[in-house]
Amino acid sequence: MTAQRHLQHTLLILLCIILSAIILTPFLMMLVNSFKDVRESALFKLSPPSNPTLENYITVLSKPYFWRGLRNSLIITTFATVFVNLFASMSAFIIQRKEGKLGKILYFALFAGIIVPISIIPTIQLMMQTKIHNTYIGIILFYVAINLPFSVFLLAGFMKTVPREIDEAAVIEGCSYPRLFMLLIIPLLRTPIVTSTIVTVTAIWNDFTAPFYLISDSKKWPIVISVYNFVSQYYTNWGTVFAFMMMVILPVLVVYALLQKHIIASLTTGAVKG
Amino acid sequence: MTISSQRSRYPNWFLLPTILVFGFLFVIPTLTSFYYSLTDWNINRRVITFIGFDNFIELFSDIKFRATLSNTLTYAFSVTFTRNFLGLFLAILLNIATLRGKNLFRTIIFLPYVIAPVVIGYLFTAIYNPSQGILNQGLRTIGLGFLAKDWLNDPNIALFSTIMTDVWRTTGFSMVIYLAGLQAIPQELYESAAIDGANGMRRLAHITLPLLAPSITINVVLALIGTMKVFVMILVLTNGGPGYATEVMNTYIMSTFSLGLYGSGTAANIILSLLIITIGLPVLLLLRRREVEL
Amino acid sequence: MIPLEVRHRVSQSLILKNSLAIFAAPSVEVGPKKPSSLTVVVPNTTILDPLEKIFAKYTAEVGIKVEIQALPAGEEYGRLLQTRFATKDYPDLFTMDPGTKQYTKFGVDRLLEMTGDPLFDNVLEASLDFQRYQGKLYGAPWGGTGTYGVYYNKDVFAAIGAKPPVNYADFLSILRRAKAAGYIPVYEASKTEWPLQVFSLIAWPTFVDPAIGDEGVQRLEVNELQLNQIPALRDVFSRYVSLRDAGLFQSGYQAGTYEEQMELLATGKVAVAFQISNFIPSLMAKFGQDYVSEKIGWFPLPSDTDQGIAMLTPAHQILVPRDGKNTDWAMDLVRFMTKSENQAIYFDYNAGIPVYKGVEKELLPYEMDVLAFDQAGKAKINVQNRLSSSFTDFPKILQNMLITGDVNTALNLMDENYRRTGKARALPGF
Repeated sequence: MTAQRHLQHTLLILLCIILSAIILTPFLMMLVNSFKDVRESALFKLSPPSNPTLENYITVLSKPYFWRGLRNSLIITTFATVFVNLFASMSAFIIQRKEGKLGKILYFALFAGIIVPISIIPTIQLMMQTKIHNTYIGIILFYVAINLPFSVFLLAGFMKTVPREIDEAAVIEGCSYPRLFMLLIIPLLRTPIVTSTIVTVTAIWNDFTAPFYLISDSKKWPIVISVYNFVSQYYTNWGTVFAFMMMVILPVLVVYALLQKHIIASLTTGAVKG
Repeated sequence: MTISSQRSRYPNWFLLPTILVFGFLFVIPTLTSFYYSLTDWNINRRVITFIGFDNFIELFSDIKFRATLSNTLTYAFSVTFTRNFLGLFLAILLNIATLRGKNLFRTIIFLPYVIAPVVIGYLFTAIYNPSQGILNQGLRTIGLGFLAKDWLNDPNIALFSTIMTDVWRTTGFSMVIYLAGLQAIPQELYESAAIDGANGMRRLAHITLPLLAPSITINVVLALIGTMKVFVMILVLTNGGPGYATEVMNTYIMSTFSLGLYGSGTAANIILSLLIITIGLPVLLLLRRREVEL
Repeated sequence: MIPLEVRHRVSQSLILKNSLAIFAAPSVEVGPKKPSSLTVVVPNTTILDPLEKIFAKYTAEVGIKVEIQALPAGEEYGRLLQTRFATKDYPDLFTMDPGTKQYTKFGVDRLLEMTGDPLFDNVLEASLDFQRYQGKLYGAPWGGTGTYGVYYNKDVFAAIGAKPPVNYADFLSILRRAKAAGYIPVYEASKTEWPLQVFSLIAWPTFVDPAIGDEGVQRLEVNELQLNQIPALRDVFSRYVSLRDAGLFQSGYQAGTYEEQMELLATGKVAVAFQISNFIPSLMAKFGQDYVSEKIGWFPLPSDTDQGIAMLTPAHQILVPRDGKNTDWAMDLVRFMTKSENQAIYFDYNAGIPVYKGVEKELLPYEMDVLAFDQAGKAKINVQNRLSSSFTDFPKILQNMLITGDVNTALNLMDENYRRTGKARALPGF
């Protein structure tokens, strides 16, 4: 019996290795070719570079729009995520606790927000009319608007597990609702807030559509859309392109490597609860 | 204090930030899109006129749009089906207790999902390169050279190539959801089934699949909705080409936008929304019912 | 259904750009105040060196800095500028595609009228005509007359013993001989999309213009003639598809790119390419001026009976928004840019035949050929520049036609898009 089990087991591991290879080989190709010069990298071979060179990385890192892109991504993602978490927890608190009409209407509207795709052209029009098109505040507010539904649902679901007695006890002690919220509720919502953060950050950091339509000033572009610009300039030099892409995904890879368990758990249980 | 009066003391103004931001940047554009889609709004006009359903009629008589609709649906259903099938298969695989290193494999297979689609798109234009790309190179080295194609430029297989890329990117996500679902199934069920003499296939059909119904619902609905909205990856891989072979709703909307035909683009957007609702909701309800029944 | 007229107010924005003038409209006593800088918008495919030189001279002379803003080229460019007009974010001046249709695109009420300006005394008559709309001038020509055509590699032709063809049948036989000798007869850059239009556009003066005449084009302009009702155009599309059917494109042409097209034509692997004169400067940057002069030749698409008619592209133009903050100084800059000696600087870096008098430029051999055709009266301007509507989505339509071979569908689509665009632009007759 064990011999057959052993065989099964070995075949299984083999299959997993093949699958992993399918996933990892493209990245390997990108990595290896980023150290090759323009001629060699155009061959896309998996073999190590014959004359390893750092010139591609030097080119990439010397471009101001690379650093600007990173900075913009950080600014936009951070602010948007903070606002999403704050507004969503405030709303989830009231919606779940109060069960009032306003809350119910909002809940329903947010549900529509999850299903219905954004209407980008009227959004652009609106943002232009209110002068927030092509501004940081504009795109941050946009991201907040489209990421709120999911987070509200997530947090409202979690609010159910926070006992009302806590609220009542605090109110009896003379605590105001805002204080109750800040000091008691938020700490208890730690876990779903982490989930919401991970989901929101992933959605915003990797997003292309919003900057594409809503930001026309290339100085305000986040890093991911810079790829689009960069490649159209350098597409005959694959080595440089690969170096650029490696640098763009590096932060993500690092964070993923460190937090993969949390990230995977968040992105999926987040989806399940939503 | 009565319950209702206590509840009424919760401050409604806490809802204000959400109402303001969500209402302003989502609800208003969505509502005005209904209006705009019925006008001749375009970049050249300074006064726009109500034209009724003309935009919609024009869209449906446009060959390019019809091809777009068909491509979008093909893409959505193909990716959804494939990634769920593969995801489930891989989840069952990785769930086998004796398998070592399953966390590592899970981490690896999930990896593409956290990488920005635009990067993956460009990466795959290199991979699909007919002469040098590693896909064709690989096929040739293992003797399957006859399978080497011009993946992105042959109109007959371009859409298929984009489907393959998206499956590669998102199967990990489906797999992890199924894994979570599988791990929630109590072992005792399997053990008692084994005692009753049920073999692998029967266990699969009668225990696993029914109890996975919630995961199936989530996975299928999310995948359908997400794939109907595909944009960047196809933009970068093929830009809708060759011809209209890989044109999908969001790339079509972008091209109307570039041409300044805003009314038309908004109408197409509404059609996309209707598509998602008319396909997403029934599927959701159908699968939800199965969950309940089981 | 009764159409409802909806007044749609575009926002009255008061955006003050830091880089632009601090001063308001000209005061009555002292005349327009000098701004500290002027903004010029150009497409990002523009070669910037000559502009930078000309502007440096201007700054030295007049003391006003000139800032160049490069916006993405193509359809995008026009749209971005139109958006800026809509939000009143006007540049001081900008370059644009040729033709009076650009006037209508932005609206003649929003462009500065230039009729009577002294700079036009220096413009060649034919170009001047081209800038007139309802008797008025709203744009100054910029750059040179270019050409689309059949560019060929002289070495390849010599190797197969060919000369520029005397008629279409001759052209086909040259292509077949090239193929037999192991060269790529025609390289089509299908993946890059836009180059696919060139064949049809150069075929127009040779095949369609003689068939429908100037009156035909006038009727097209006001939608009295439909594109899919022109047998000569159907014939052009059929010829194009036959080239493909006869195997005269490179194999795997769907993957063809503009860069590879240039590379292979220059290095003698390809016999001919249907291209635009703008690619010559890029070739020269890569291979050197002498190499290109020696190796690359041009001829128009021949007709069944003769050498054919050359297709010319008029010069681009400079437009000035009427409500810009510094229109007087903007015009001053325009006059400076269009002076003969500054035009000469432009042509140090760009191809084309000058449209201003007295510009010294040594024409390349192929440019002399083009000039010869022009002077013999055997040249016509690009039909796209003679029409106010556009052949929208033309590259994609052609790309599809090459896949399916379906000429009729392509024609119908082309016609539909043309009329749809005319309607969207509220052009008379649509």
